[in-house]
Amino acid sequence: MAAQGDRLAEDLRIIGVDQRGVLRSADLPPGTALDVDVLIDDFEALRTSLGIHSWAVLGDSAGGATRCSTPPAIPTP
Amino acid sequence: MTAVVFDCPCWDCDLTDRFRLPVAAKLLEAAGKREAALACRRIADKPDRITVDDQPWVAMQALDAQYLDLFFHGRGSTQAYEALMSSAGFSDEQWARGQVHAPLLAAMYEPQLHLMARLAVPSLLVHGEDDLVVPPHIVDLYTSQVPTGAVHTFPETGHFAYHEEPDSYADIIRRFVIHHAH
Repeated sequence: MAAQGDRLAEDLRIIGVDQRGVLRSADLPPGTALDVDVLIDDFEALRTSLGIHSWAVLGDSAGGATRCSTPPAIPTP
Repeated sequence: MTAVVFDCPCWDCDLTDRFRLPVAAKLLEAAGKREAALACRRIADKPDRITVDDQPWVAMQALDAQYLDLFFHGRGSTQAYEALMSSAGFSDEQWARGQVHAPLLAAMYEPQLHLMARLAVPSLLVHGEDDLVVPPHIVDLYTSQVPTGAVHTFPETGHFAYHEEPDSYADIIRRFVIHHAH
């Protein structure tokens, strides 16, 4: 996001996500199982809560393998 | 989802590490670290799949500061990495929180390329010419399984094209997303 957020935001709405438990997101609840499905559900919940009908998704490195559903997400009109 | 961009994706770390470990071994041999080089080659030559339990990154990290050379184009990797990390504006404590995601490492060693055949939206694979995470045969597997899949290779970049070639990267991503917006 630091390298690309402002550049891409000139033409697109950019949403960068700190996945659960890391960076600025809340701590993992004690005993929480963490797997790819949990992360995918988080992204879908985020999309719904923001009222976004459709978006393009960019996954980087490990994120590129999260079954095609990782941040940053780019909503499309 | 209208489209997806895969940026240097870890689709199968078994394939990645079989390509990357020999490169690390050569660097280790050049540095006189023969035991560590042997450890890399031993994992790369495993008859069974490489798994998270093999901890290939531990073998490669015997490169010490040179380990970063595996992720960048050319020299100056350490400075480039420090610039990349500091540009994000996070504290050491915030970066350290990433350790809670260690359980996800195992999934990175499970093959996912077979899922590509089910991909129902336009996709673009972007990768650096020198990125060892996405070696040429992974690009070939993607193009064979996703006939409509686009590929863009950034010359003279490694794993972080968005940092090493930021303007070119933004141009490619922007054009792809706008083209497929609806």
